[in-house]
Amino acid sequence: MEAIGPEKLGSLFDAHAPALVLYARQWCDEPEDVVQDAFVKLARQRIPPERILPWLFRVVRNAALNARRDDQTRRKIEARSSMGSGVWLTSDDDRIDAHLASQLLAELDIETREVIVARFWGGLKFEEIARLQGCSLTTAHRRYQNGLARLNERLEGQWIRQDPAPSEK
Amino acid sequence: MNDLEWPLAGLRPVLGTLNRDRMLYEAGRASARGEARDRLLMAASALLLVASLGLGGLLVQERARRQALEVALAARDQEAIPPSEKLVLPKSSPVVEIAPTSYLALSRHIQPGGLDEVDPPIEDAGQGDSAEGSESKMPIRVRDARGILDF
Repeated sequence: MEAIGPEKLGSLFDAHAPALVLYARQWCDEPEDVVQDAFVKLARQRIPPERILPWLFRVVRNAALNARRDDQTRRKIEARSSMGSGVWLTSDDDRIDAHLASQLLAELDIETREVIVARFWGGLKFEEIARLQGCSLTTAHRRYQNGLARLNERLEGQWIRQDPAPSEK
Repeated sequence: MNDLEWPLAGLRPVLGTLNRDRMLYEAGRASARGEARDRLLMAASALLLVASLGLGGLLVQERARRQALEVALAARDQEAIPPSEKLVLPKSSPVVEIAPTSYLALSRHIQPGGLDEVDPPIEDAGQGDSAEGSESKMPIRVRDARGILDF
């Protein structure tokens, strides 16, 4: 087995980098650096991991937790770009308020949010999430369902912007 | 996708300031650096191996040479010693006959038991008439008291 080539790395980046950034954003202020380092680390692996996606999530998680420790100790006040200032999600559908959705997602407790991000946007299996979090499969599944239910409760009436004009579809 | 998941379906995570090309560049650079480091490690290992083998060969050669030199020096030293300095054994003193009744001869006869075990003089041994007489003359020794006394 050879090291991962640039084409494969690029396709992995296109497919999973946004989810990984969102995943790392839960713990640290500079998730982009963490995700980039994870891909660089992947490129340096002489024998690539058997299951690349869970490996990437684990590396990002560990690095983000370390970065959070650093952030807590020094706590630099930096002017953040508007892109990273709190909008975690974007939507092509104008009826969906992505900013509000980001806020509501951020209000979830971190374990629940981690499961939702890893499962829904990351595409990890529940077994892999349970291994990441160090919990049982049932717990991971329960956190996911509870998190989604709480999101839906909060989003009632405000999740989707009321469109005055009826949809064409 | 279940009912709880469908509201999230229209949302996508923001990539932020992460740049694909920058990532690929950094990954390529790190990979190349890693390869260079591997090559350097391999070269250093090979160099150390060669150096170890060379030093081992030199050690063996030096030992063999030293051994030959020691043998040669020993042989030369043997030849160089003058006859006057050779080891001279002292002459042994003449053997002197010891009289059987002398103190030296008697003291050599003393057994661990003391003077009681000294063989009687030859003259006395011939005077005994019977075995009873010789038994009655045997003194009772102190150490017999520890064992069984047979009177």
